[in-house]
Amino acid sequence: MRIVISILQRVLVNHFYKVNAGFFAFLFFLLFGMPNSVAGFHLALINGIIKSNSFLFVAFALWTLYNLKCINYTSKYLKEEKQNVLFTLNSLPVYACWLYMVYVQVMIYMPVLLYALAIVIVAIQKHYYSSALYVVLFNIASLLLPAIFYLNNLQKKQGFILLKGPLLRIYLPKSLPLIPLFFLWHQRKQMLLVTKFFSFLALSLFIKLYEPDHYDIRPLLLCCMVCATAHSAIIFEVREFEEQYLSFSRNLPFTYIKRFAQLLLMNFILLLPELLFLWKGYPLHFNIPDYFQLLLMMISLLCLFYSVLLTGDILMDAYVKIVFGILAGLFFVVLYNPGIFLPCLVMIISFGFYFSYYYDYERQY
Amino acid sequence: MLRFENVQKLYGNFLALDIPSFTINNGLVWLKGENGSGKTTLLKMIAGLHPFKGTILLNDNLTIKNQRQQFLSLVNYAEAEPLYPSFLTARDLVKLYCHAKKGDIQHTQRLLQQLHIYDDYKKPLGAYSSGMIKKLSLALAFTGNPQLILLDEPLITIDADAVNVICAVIQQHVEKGVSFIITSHQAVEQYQLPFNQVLLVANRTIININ
Repeated sequence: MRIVISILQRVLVNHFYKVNAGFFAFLFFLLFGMPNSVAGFHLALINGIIKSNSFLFVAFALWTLYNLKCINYTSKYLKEEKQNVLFTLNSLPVYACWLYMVYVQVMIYMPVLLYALAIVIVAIQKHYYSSALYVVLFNIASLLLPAIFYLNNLQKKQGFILLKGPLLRIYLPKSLPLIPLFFLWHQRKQMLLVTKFFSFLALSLFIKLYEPDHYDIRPLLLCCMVCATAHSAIIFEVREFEEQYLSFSRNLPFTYIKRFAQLLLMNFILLLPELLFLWKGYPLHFNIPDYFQLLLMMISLLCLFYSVLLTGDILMDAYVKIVFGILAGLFFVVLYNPGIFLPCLVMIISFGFYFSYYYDYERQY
Repeated sequence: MLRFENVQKLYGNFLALDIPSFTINNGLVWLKGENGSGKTTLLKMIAGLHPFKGTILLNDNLTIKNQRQQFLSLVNYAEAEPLYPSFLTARDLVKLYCHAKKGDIQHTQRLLQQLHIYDDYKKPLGAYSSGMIKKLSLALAFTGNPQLILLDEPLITIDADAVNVICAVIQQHVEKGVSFIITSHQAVEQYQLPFNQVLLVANRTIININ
């Protein structure tokens, strides 16, 4: 029994956290990265969840989204040929196999379970027993039902892979700068959705709630920089993807300028939803010339994050520190109102890094 | 054709290749060497995929560091075990390569037909077998107007018919003046690929063993 659990832990569970390291780092930043009281924030959030059915529903929706990620990962991974060794588990009784799959689900669903546990404890303390019961029942179902999916895959029955693409397939030409975006759409959907959700939440709250006494572009600029920084984990994933699958593109005869232009285009398309959404704040929060400053700042920030990753083998934890260091430094500079010069400077630094390191970068691990 | 001057390849502090001075002539070149001797590293350096110290000169006037675009327009490369994003199709890659290397799409499509993978031209590569991926990467190595084609283990993974097609295409290109550096652990029949230079990568350097 121990050996089965040990193999499942290494093959499925550890691999899940490894491939989603960027997603979890981003989630950690989102939930625990605020400068003020983290405990106070989460207590307020939990109070909202146990007291309001709407809040509870939003929590269930987000947990379901995460669960779909778990189910999709495990179902697909079990179907890979290299996992055929796991099919020997079919020689065990079906019930035992299902329990092993429940174990896998418990381990990869653990982040939600821990948060749900905190909610249940607070709910019982404050006598919101019905909320506690809903959370418990929802999470039990979230653990037991997906195990049936996994068992189905283990038995090589006609599977149900969730989140398949749309049935109507339309051919979209995939030029080099668009390939990483297709990668995000096909293989990092949840990460993209969570990032966009946070980004839109920050922008819409700012535009709705902030009422300036006089015109000043800096508050919105800072908000845009936070939104761009929320995409840093995505940029990390894009670099990982490029190193693994697009290394051949270094053999294509493109100039530095063209390659950097491709990077600009990719970042522009990635940020296009936010750039369009920004117009909801016009003319109260910005004028048209300043819009270009916002646009350039967001794009150049992503270019800088990308270029920093070319300077060496930077792991996620070090990268997060660098990203926050850059953001903190730029926050300080923005206070002096440097105008369009700051995004231009960031863009020039990005290009400098890109020019110096693009062809010299080589993964050492 | 290719001249190496004080070329060194380091992985961290480990010296993987050290080529003080060496010339590879035009024609069909067989690059031999044990596993881990540095053959793939050498090909990747020439193809611009790996950084290195020193100078690699093509035609005595182009270096990858100073004239990268012109150099890469003339040098194509096919990996031993190519990896492509599973959501791309052969059509995407053919278009990308033909755009970058200024190649003829129909020419590449004909080669895919010869290799019997054209029926899957519009399918995602995730549905391809490893042999089909290998055939695609070989077809892509012939796009454009290369002067030098680097093929890393081109004869493994693919079926016997495809081996014959690839050997024939290589010979046609050699007759047109294209040079090849090919690594292969398999013994290649002289009638299939009439090599005019045999090189050995050993002891962290490259030597001529003709």
